[in-house]
This record gives sequence, structure tokens and C-alpha cells, in this order.
Amino acid sequence: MARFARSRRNGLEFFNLFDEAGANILRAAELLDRLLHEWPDEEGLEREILICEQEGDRITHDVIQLLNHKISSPIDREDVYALASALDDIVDYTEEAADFLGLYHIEAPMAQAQQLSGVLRDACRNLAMALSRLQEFGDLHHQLVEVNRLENEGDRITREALASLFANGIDPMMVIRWKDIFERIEQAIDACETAANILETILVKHD
Amino acid sequence: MRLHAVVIDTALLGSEAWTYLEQLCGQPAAPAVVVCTGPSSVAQRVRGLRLGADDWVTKPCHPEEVLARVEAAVRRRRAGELSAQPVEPVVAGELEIRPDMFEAFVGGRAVGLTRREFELLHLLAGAAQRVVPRERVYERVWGYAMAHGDRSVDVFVRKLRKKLEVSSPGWVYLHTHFGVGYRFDAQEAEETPGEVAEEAEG
Repeated sequence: MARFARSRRNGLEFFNLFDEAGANILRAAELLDRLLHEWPDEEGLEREILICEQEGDRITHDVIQLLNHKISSPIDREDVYALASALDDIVDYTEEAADFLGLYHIEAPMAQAQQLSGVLRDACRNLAMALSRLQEFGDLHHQLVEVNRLENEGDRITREALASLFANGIDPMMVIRWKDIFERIEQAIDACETAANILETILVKHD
Repeated sequence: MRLHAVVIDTALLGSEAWTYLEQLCGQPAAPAVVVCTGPSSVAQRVRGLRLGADDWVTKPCHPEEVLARVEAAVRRRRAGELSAQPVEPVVAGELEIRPDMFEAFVGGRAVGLTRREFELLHLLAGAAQRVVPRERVYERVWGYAMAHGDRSVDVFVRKLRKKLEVSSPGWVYLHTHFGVGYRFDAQEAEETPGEVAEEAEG
């Protein structure tokens, strides 16, 4: 009985950390979306996204520490590690995209970047919802399918955005700058899909 | 950063060289183009220069000479650009736009424009109340074709409006034509309600 209670307590710690990670990726994505709509008049949003990135590192570290120090885990250890890494990647790429705006002296946003950040925000919202309900091991199908659909949408927007950069007569410096930013946001969306696939695996194993 | 000059070797470009040269020189606000290549016929050199190349240097040549020819081509371009721009002040409403000082004034006080904001204002003011499409504004002020989705023109019009509102609060100078572009026309503020914050992006 005492062993069961301990295992459940360990499980709660994992689930709480993933719940925190879900809220953190959603906050970072919402901030990036605001940043890209308000740029260059943003006030301190880049700094807030950096704080999310540091918070993401802290959560990942806590998950790994917990894995190393607990005997039992409610989810397979390799899935815990993979999920924590994918969630960390989302915030890392989001922060890099935000950082590039200042680093590259971007004068004004591009509409396609605003569309991409909207897709990232929606994907993170679905992931955060799924993560908050993970401990129920219930039906997360709707959220996970939605993340996959959004990833396809992100791919389409990225392809069109890159095509617009390679039209005749565009400033080559603009191509270099925006190609990097589009790719970082796309990588963040791809990491959302990776996290969704891992959640799917966890649910299948638990059935 | 804007590209001011390009050095090309037609021999390295192969059969596409003439098409490339024609496209490069035909671009809006094209950079200075210097062809630096091996021995060529008079017909080839004439063709290159007529397509728009600014100079033709035959290899072997000293790098210093190539550099000096590039600098001379850029100087000629700049001199041409400057002489093409009117320098007379434009007066509209309370605003006096002074191309000789790259600044606008209201009652003798500078509005405090950046170089790009000034160029934008000067271009729109010089269009004699006609609507200037966003793509045209970008091409003239930034010197390149505008990428689809680029919001630079809208952002700079917004910045310019804010500065003009502070310096000349009783007047509206920049008018939005949604989905098309912008028009400069000095009007007293109460005549044009609701126009101030709009952007042309459609």
C-alpha cells in the first residue's frame, strides 16, 4: 500500500512537470505571436520569451533529475525523456526566432511569419491541453490530430514564404534574414508534432 | 545593407551570361555592374555595355584597377541618383520638406526623421496627390523589389504618421488607400476622421 502511494506520488510529480511545460510552451508561442504582430514597437517581449526558454530548461532538468532519482515512473523512461526534450526544443526554437528579429535588425514583420506564429500558438495550445490531461490517460485524439494538421499547415506557409523570398529582385540580405526566421518557427512547429507523436505512443502503450 | 556593385565574369557564367547580365541590369535600382572577363571581341564588349554594364575590364588585370573601376562606377551611379532628385523644398499644410537637409520642418522645428522616413515622405509628397502603390514605394525607397507579405512600407508609414502627428497635430498628411498604397495630401485633421491609423496592406 505504501509502495503504491509512493508510485502515485512520483507519477504526480511527472504529470505536474509536463503540465508546467505545456503552459510554458504556450506562453512562449503566444509571446512570439504578439512580438511578430507588434514588431518593431514591442516592449520587453523578447526578454519575456527568453525567460520562458530558461524556464523550459529548468523544467527539462527537473524531469531528468526525477527520472534519475525515482525507481518507478508512470510512463516509460525513454518516452519521458523524449517528451521532455521535444517540449524543450519548442521553446528553444521559439526563442531563437524571437532573438533573430533583434539580432538581424529586422525593420518590419512579414505577414507569413505572423501566420506561422499563429499556427505555432495553436499547436502549443492543443499540446498544452493534452499535457494537462495526460495523467487521465484519456482520449487526446482530437488535440493530437489537430497538432498534426497544424504542422502540415505550417509546412505549406513556410514553402510559400520561402518562394516569396526567392522572387526576382528581392534584397539578398532580406532573404538571408527571413529564411532563418521562417525555418526556426517551422522547426518549433515540427517539434510540436514530435511531442504529439510521443504522446500518442505513451497512450498506445498505456491502453 | 544594400548591394552597390556586382563584378561578373561572363566566361564563368557560360551560355547564360547574356541573359543574366540583361536581368541584372534591368532590375529596379540595379547595382553598378562591372564585367571582368578574359579576351573578348569588340562586339561582345559593345553588347555587354549596351545591356547595361557600367564598365568592362579585360583579364589579366590588376585587382587594384578592378577595385578602382568599381568605385568609379558606384560614384557615377550616386551622382546620377542625386542629380535626378529635386532639391526644392515642398510646402504642404504646416509642413516644409527640405531635400537638401533630408528633413521636414513645422514652424522651423525639425520633425526628426530618419533617412528612410524622409525618403518615404519625399517620395509620397512628390507624387502630387496621386496614390503610390506599396510595391512602388518599396522599390523606390528600399531599392529592391518588395517581397510578398513584407510589411516594411506599412511600418514606416505608421512611424512617419506618429512623428507628423506630434509635430503637426492639426493636420493629416498621409492617406491610406486600402489594398493599394498611400497618398500624400495635406488636409486639416477634422476633414479626414478615421483615416489616421489604417495600413494599406490588403
